This record gives sequence, structure tokens and C-alpha cells, in this order.
Amino acid sequence: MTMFQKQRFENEEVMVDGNSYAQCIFDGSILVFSGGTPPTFERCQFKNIKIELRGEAANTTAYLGSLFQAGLPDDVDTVLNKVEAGVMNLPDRPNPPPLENTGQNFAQLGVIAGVIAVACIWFIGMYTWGTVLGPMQTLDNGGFLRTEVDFALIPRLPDGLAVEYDNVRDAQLARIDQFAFASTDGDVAIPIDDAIAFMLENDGFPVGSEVATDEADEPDSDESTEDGDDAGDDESESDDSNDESGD
Amino acid sequence: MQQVIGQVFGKEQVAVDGKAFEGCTFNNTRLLYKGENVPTFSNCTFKDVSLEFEGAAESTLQFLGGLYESGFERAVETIFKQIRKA
Repeated sequence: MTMFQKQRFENEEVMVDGNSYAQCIFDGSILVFSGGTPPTFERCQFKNIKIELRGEAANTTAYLGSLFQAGLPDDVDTVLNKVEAGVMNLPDRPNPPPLENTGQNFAQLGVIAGVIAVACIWFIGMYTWGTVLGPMQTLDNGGFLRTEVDFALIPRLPDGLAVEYDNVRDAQLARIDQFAFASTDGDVAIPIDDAIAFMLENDGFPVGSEVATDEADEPDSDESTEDGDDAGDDESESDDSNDESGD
Repeated sequence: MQQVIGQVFGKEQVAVDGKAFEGCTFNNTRLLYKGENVPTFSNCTFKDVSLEFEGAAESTLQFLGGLYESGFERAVETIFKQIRKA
């Protein structure tokens, strides 16, 4: 066998019997086969080639032709179909599989199919029992599908949670919207709106009795000029506080 | 060419290379061809015969099969048409 590698055959006859070609280019060539060892082609490029059979190869096609004419067209077609299907025993082609793997051993095929069918039925049965029948039977017996959990361990929200929330909110709104004593020390609570208005006018809340005392000792001159009535009220309140302290 | 006249072949293998069969009967016979001189069949009867190939004939079919598998379907089909027209 002659090995040809990376050769270019152009417009020439190439006797391919028994040769091996790798990465060759055939351009306008005539591949001539005479019935020797079939050649091999690996990663070759073919362009405008022709195939010619000579010698014993040509004899073979002539023999098939004579059989075709002699009354064996079906047998010849069978051979040609095998060639097209690649069934012919090429040198590098593996042997056909043994008979038991070709689907004609029906006894073994039946046994294997039966085993597979039994396995499938068993699996489906177990799956059905585990997911449908088993739980249904457990329920019928009064059991639990899963481990029972004590209700005391489950956090619960009160049924009237929304109503209770509304009541708390209303109570809180009412509480901050009324006058009341905030403590036994004399602190008072005023409505939240009045408190906000007061804070905006005075840049904050007075703190305890110190503020009242300061205001009494040093009345705001600006307020006295701009709001005479308010100043008079403050003085009267301070007088009252002095009277109370005197008492 | 060897002449074979009026012979009846049963369930056996018959090498046909270079023979001229005339008025023969082939019944369940395996016809073996090796690619040598082409045999001739005249007035023969065939029944349940099978074709077998060895040597150059087998190599030729393998060569054609390899060509067909490698993408030269048209070239191989052309050869097959010539066989059917012969």
C-alpha cells in the first residue's frame, strides 16, 4: 500500500488500488480502480473527478449486469442496495453484531421486555401507594399525614385584631386631643394641635416652672409692643402665679 | 471458457468465474464470483439463489460502497444504472 499525503492530482489518471491518500487534492482526475485492495481517502478534496473501473472491477459490474439480464434482477438489486447501504464488509468496518442483538431473538427480547414491564408496574404501584392510597388509608384511620403539632405551639393572632387596633388608635387620638393633668406635679397636657401651634409660635415648649418664672420676671418687650393684650394676660398670669406661691 | 451444459445444482456453492452455463438449473445455489472472467448464463433456471463475492469482486463492491458513503452517490448510481441496463 502506497501512502500519498498532501499531493495534488490534476487532470490525470490515478490508479487507486491499494493506495492510501491523506489530505490530497484531486482536480479533474480519473480515479481508476481495477479490483485490488480498496483505497482509503482521508480528508481529501475532490473536484470534477471521474471514476473508472477496469480489469476485475469491470468484470464484477459486467457479471452483475449479466445476472440482471439472465433473470436475477432482484438478487442483483439486493447486492446493489447492500452496497448503497454500506453493508458490504469493508476492511475497516466492524463485523455485524451477533444475532441476539439484531432483534430476531424474540425469546430473549420477550424476557427482557417482561422484566422491564414488571419493574415499571412495580414502580408505578409503589408510587401510587406512597402518594395516593397510603395517605388516604391513613386519613380513614384517623391518623395524621405528618407529625402532629400542638396548637399551643403555633402562634395565633386574635380574631378581632383589626377591631382591637382601631379601638387602640381611637383611644390614643382622643388622649392627645384633650386637656388633662399629665402628672401630680402640676404638669398638664394640652391638645396636640394647640401644642404644635404653640411650639411654632414660641420656637419650642416652655420647660417646667422655670420658664413661667422667667417670663414673669422678664416679660418679652417685643410682645408687649406688638401684642399688648397678650402681654397683659401674661402679667396677670404671672401675678396669679405669684399669688399662688404666696399662698 | 469452461462449458457447463444441462447441469442441475442444488444447495451448494458454485464458483462461476470463467464458465459458460447453458441450460443449467440452480436451486438454492450460492453463486460465488471472484472477479475473474465473466461467466455467461444461457437458458438457465434460477430458484432461490444467492450471490457471493470474494477477492477482486468483493473489493470492487467495497470500493463502490466506500465511494457511495463518501459522497459520490451520483457516480455510483451511474454505474448501477449501467449494470441494470446491461
